[in-house]
Amino acid sequence: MTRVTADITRVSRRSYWGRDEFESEMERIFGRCWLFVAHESEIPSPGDYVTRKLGGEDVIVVRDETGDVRIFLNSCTHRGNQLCRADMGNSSHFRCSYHGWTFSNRGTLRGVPERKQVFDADFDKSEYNLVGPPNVDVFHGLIFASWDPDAPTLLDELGDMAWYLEAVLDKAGDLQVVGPPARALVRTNWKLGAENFAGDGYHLGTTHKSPIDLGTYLNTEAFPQLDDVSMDAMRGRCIVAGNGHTLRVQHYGLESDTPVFLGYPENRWSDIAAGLDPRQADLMSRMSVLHGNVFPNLSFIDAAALSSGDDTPAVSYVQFRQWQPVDEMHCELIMFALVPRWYDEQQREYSQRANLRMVGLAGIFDTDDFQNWTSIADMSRGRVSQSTDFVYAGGVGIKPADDVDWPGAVYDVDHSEVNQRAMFRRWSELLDDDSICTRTAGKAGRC
Amino acid sequence: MLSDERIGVQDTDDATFTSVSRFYGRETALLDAHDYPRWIPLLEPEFVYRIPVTVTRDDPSQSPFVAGAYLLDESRDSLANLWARRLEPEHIDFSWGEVPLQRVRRFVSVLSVTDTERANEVSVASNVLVTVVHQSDPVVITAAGRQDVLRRRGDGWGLVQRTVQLDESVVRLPHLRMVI
Repeated sequence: MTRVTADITRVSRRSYWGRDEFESEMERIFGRCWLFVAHESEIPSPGDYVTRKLGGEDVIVVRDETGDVRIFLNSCTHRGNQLCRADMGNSSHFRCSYHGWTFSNRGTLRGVPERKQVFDADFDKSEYNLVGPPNVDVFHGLIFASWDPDAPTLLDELGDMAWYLEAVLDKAGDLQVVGPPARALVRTNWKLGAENFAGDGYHLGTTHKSPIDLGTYLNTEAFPQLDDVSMDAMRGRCIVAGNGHTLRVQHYGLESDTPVFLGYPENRWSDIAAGLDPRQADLMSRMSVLHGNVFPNLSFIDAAALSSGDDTPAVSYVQFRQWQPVDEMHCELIMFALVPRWYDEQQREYSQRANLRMVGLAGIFDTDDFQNWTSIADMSRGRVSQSTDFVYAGGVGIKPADDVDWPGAVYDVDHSEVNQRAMFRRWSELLDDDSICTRTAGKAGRC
Repeated sequence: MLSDERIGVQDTDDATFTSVSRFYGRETALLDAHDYPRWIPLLEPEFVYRIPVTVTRDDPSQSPFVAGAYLLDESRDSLANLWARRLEPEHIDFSWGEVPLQRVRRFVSVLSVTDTERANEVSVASNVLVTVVHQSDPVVITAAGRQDVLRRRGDGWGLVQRTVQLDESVVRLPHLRMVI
């Protein structure tokens, strides 16, 4: 079946809503790619753990006694029972509630009750350590893992996107999560949210007309630096960063000799610039909003919230969110609010509040987005509707610009579908690549 | 677990309990009717509406509701300016998430009204069951605990604070943009 046209301007609806397509994605994309699983600041101390999904598998993400981050299936190697039953906690070991097999937080099988009575003398505990992904790595606090034993390094997989993620994650020093993530079951396919964050500036004028009209976006009144700055000079760019990673950034047309980091205390601006390379400072300075998607399903937004509806001052916020596939019609959305470590309690509260009011589960943006994404799912259940295509032809002839020296292909366009095409090009390549079958031979699969 | 101060000793008098119960009947009807213009005036100027993140913990002594981490954090002004206004004629055509209106009912029960250190304020704990129907979808039900602080007014009560503790750690409502 043709999933996408050669130029990726059309994507079959079955690519979203087909059961077979979903199964292929789980094997060939989520069984292969580096996937975000947690933020380091969620597990700061030895024994701290969170339970998450990694490519459809339930896993424990734990900091072991030596400080290393480890990931294991949350499943006893004896008979598969769940080991950790909490979302978060601290433990030096994990004990199965069925027969009592006990594992260290390094994954080593330590205790087997009645071992000599139940098992033969040649029973070798070392054969039953916890199972985990062969690749785990951390990028500026983001913990990723891949189930593919032959995966490239995380840095190779991130490619040019690493430079942009650094700019977001290092802009204000180390970022840390505000608390446990918000979670919601959303009745839509994981790709709809991912491709929206990947670079859909086109939907803003319609979907988000209400928050724009209510002054939360594209409003120069919030920052004195924006006095006399014309909104017509607002400039958006779409960036294709390789391997399906993309982002969109929008800047105010503000003339300034030094970087301006809207939403951060002005007395920190020089420090923020000093922590970035000059090109990254250029990317983040005067920024209104930057959002993107790390292929396949880790999206992020970094924005200066202009009005939170009350006397909360204009403030910057950063959110990472993951679209965990559940089935072709559902995903679990997990949202992480991140703030600089140096924020005091008041700054943290302002930033979290703006984050929630804009892009939280009750946020003025997401409330309208959810409506679209669930509606598309509902309208895609029939055989006829599934036989049609989605259109991604926006900006099909556009060429990369050369007026900035940022990595990747930078397009001088705010509203286009160039980013979505890059995402679906990678998606299509991976679904058509049979090499994953030989690399994961012996594992359950459909190859 | 019930904390000991919730069991009887600081319960308010019957007249106050009855008055508070009547207030909830009226407040719930306004919310179910999406009647923000008449509900917002029930809020005191410093009103805060919060929903903390719910997690499953391995330590039974720890609360499942995480202090300082929220799903929602609103004030009277933010509710008036970014929620209520979306249902006004000028904005309603682009309030895609709220319109068509969801049919929502709040079943508020098991009221426990407690006097506080402030003579004109009471603390109210209750259970809330919320049913939501969006278009032709099946009903979605969610259960929560609610902790309110109410302040006496000449005409009844004003809401000073509302904290809603959702039992579900994964939200299944179509969206969370509702006052529970």
